[in-house]
Amino acid sequence: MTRLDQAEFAAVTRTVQSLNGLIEKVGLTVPSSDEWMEINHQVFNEVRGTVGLPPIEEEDFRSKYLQGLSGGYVRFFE
Amino acid sequence: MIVGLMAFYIVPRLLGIIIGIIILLGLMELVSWASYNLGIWPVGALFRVLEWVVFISAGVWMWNYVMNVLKAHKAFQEMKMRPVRGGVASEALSESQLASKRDEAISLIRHLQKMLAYQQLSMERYNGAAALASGSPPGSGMAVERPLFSVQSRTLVSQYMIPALEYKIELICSMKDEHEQVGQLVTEEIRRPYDEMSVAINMMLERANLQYQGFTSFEQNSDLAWI
Repeated sequence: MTRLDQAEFAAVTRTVQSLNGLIEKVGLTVPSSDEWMEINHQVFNEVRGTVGLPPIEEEDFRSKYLQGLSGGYVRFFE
Repeated sequence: MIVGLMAFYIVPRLLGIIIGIIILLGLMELVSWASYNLGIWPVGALFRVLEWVVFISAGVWMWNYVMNVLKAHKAFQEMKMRPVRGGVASEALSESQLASKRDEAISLIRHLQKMLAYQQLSMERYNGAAALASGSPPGSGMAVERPLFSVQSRTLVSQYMIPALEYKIELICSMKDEHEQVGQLVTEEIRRPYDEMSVAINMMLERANLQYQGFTSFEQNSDLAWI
């Protein structure tokens, strides 16, 4: 089970790294990171919509997302 | 320009090789000389021949190296001097192509971020159920880290864990479907992150199925404990 955990973790990490490479290539990183955050905000709200949750405000989302990126425990779907 | 290229690029790079070859030839000459003096003349002769082989090969290699560097340098100079053909119309076309490629990449980024949002949803639901079943606080916010917990009660497993895993499997299957539909539109140029996500989704599904099998076995078999 642990081995499968590690394999999944590695697969997701590779995906995120590869996605970050594409994000950088397109130029969505600083200084235009707002565009990237906006994309994230929209997709999270789309997914929240699929489970009947109302949209989350942009500022709230941004703060949660940044907290999550820095390793904090955050929930987007409650 | 060529003198600068020779002085700052070619010669410093070749210097190490030339010194190495001189040392090698010196050693070979020493062996050859010693062999002749000891009367083992076939070995001495063989080393003399080898010295010539090394000397000629090194000369040919260095000549080719210098020629290739000069050729590459000339090609680079020509490329810099080449006028831009086409004018305004082709520049506009190139910009529109660039914009179209950017749009395509942004669509893919949006899709992949959505897949990660689904993955976050499945993890939150699963961790929430695990916390309820084990009486532990919710796990960490790491993307796919499985929190360590111990579930003692079969009732709690059937009440929380099994429905959470059924939901997780259903969600990942739906992600997989959506991902496969998008795949038809992704071009080769930006396909790598898409393919990495395909692998990740398969791993998620495999793990969720294994977790499901584990918990259902635990629920049905009183001899097992689940940690």
